[in-house]
Amino acid sequence: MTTLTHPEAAWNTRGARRPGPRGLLWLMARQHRTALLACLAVTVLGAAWIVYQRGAMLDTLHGAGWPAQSADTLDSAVTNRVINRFDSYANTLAALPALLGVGLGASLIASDLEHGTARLVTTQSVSRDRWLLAKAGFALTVVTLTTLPLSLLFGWWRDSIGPFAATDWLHDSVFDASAPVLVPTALFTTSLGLAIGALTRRVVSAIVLTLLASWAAIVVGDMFKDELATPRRTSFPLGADQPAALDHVVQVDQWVGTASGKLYGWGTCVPEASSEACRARLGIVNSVWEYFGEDQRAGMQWTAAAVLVAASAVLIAVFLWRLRRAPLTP
Amino acid sequence: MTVPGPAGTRWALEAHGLGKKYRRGWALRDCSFRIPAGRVCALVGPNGAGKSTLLSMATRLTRPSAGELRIFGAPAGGRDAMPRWAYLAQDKPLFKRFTVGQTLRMGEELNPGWDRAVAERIVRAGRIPPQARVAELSGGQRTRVAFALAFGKRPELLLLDEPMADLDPVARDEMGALLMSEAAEHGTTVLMSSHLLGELEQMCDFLLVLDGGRIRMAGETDELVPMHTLVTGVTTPEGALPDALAAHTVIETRTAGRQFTALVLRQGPLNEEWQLTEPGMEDVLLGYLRSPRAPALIAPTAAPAHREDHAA
Repeated sequence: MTTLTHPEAAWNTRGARRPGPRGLLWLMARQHRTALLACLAVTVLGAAWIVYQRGAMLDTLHGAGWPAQSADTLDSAVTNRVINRFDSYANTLAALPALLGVGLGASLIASDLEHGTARLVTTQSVSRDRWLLAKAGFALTVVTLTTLPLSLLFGWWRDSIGPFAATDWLHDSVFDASAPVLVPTALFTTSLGLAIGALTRRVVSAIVLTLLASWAAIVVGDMFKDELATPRRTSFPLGADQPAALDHVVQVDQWVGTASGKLYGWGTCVPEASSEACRARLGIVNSVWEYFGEDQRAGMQWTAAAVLVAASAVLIAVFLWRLRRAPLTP
Repeated sequence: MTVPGPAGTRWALEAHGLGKKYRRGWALRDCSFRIPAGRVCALVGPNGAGKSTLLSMATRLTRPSAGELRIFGAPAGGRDAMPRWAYLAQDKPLFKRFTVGQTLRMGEELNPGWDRAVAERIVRAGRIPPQARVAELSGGQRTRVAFALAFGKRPELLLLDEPMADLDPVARDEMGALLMSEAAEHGTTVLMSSHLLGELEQMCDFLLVLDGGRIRMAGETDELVPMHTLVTGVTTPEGALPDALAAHTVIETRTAGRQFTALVLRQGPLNEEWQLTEPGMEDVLLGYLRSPRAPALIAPTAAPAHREDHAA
């Protein structure tokens, strides 16, 4: 490109076939260039940060003697620092979908509706349906391309530090930040932003409502995490060490029980002075755990993914239903 | 005068029983009219008459509640009709962060029949550099870019919603000249809503007058305006209008003392005692708009009574 200062000479594009995307894709890329660059920056910087942090963390752990020594025997100051640092990254990554929903989804269509450019685009030679599909397709592709590499790298990091990854793999952010959950969550929050933008038609109200709705959805989602699979139950003699198989499970509930399987609350006989006699009287001999085994993790994550994708499909349907036939007049 | 449209239809825009109902009532009701191809048609009426509603139904920004609207014989809003019309909304929405060059690029990307030379010529004639951001342009320059986008689509029908409303007199004159020369060069049919009756009189050869959601007048300017006469005479001693006037359709009357002035639609020769003058288009339009009870006047050219005309 030559630098041209004369206005007449600057129109020197006649007949030239331009490189790059065409049609609506060109419009999406140009109109949402800032959002696109921001997502690209988040992906590149986030990925670089994971690679760097993972290396630094492994150096620390290797320096402390892991994996030659078992994780339990390491200096607890070192392990705590490692666990906290990993947790804080997981928390940040788990917050990314809400950020994408608010930053990209909410304003994506609301801005066109508020500023009249919806009328500009749909009165060219593209149908409204094609424009709406291009908008939704663009947003969902961008958030997938942002969250997928980050969540895959995050999974690679998690797997490499094994026992230090998380104490509770279900309720900690590490569950939400891995690929099968993070990507569908981002699709969900973005669809939520699109649907709310289509309903409010105002950028600011769409952003505020998407923020509140994403937060509410995450709170509700956390409440239903235990419903993603059927927990297992196991018994072992009361007072004995827990079996090694229960080392990395997520405990859902805990009881005491008799040999025949009758359950009593965990606190049964505890406050009494003669707890031994009390237990003997009731026949309590076992400690009973209800838990999710780590081998259930993948299944639970994919179940969560299916629920989130279905919810996203409903929200996209709301978005299309609201705008396909609605008046676009100011 | 009427030139056949490229698809073999003579009618650029045709409405049959067209209506649009909003929650507060009908914005447009039972409208039937047609505009021949190649005309520059003024769309006139007071605020709330249904002008913008009509234009947004033609562009499928809203859907009709009743009736149908055809553009060159094809249903308005259909995929076939889309490349054949261009629309300039009253507020001329453009992407503020785009440069002028990118705005025209958008036109090129979204319109298969894009004419880059026409669009660039219009922008260049206004000395607007392609690197200028839309947000930095003056009102007149923005309108020019919006016009370039509309003409670059090479429409056969150009729909304009008060295109000159927010322009200063110089820009208005410039845009008017641009519109007329581009429309003449490409044989574009234009439907333009405006409140500026004086300018419409210079530009338009066809009229579509709406009031209260209904058609008040439709037809060729040269046909409709000469059907009227401004009559000045003396009232009866009781102050009433002379009986002889009742033989004609009286659109509007005013009396001052013993003298009356009436705009009449002639139904035969007029009494020679009266002073008769030819009204201008503006006089006729104002007469009709000020008298909501006067009967609607729809010329045969503008009345879509004969459906076989579609295929003519």
